[in-house]
Amino acid sequence: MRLGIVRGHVVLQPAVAAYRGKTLVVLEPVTMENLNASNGLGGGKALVAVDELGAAKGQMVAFTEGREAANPFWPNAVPVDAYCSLIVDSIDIHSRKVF
Amino acid sequence: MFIAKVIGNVVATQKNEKFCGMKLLLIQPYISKDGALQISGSSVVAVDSVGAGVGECVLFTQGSSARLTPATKDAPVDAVIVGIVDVVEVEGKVLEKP
Amino acid sequence: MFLARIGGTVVAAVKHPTLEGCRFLLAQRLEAGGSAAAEPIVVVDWQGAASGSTVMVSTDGDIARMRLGNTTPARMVVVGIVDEVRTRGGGA
Repeated sequence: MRLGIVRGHVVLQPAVAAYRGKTLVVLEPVTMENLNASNGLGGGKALVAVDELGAAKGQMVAFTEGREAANPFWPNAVPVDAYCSLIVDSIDIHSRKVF
Repeated sequence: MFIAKVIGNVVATQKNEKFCGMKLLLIQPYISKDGALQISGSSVVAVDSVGAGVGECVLFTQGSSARLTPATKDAPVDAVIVGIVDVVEVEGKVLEKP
Repeated sequence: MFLARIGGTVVAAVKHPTLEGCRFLLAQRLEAGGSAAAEPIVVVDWQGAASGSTVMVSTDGDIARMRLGNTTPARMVVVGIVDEVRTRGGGA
């Protein structure tokens, strides 16, 4: 999983039937440099992910990419390649709280 | 998933038989950056599963997840359009679609 | 699989239900020369890796699926703690 900050959301109309009711968020991945600096910046290439955890704008999430991002919908086939798996509360690096 | 603009139709008479009946589109990915949608990376050939046309802004899924639509099941597809983008909102601002 | 260095720990109260009870570590993928990737990753750990450990990470979600069930989004898992890497021209 990579880390991303929730920056916004996307609405589709129309969409594949399997997407009905799903929330799509815009995530900005976080670089190690920005994480270490605790500056609230992301710095990575933004992407769109499905969120079922209710992550709010500005929160940091860990998101799964690839085929595994569709696993939560098993046995249904939902064409998802990015999925919010955790809402991050805190990150410690060498016992120093960076987030 | 990434946002993209449909920039063309792809026609191939000779193709893997699993592609028969599929609509192929050439799309240009965009990412949200500095408060706007900006071109990012190389163009992609994607299977359309929602009836998108040239000039429209779409969302597409990549990798083996692209096979998880009724239109692309069991086909050697690695990119599929899963919806037409209505609204992209970032930091409280609705971004202009490309 | 790739090599990564564990940098720290990640705490998350809200998570996919299959991830309840999992230990999450912050890691950075390592290149052969020892340099680290610009973006950190969060990995699931059942090996007991510590901050500073060099580990092997598998990107095959089947390992997580066998343990956490078919609906888990977990993918990157620590599959070993590396004692030493020997490469031609010295260790990494």
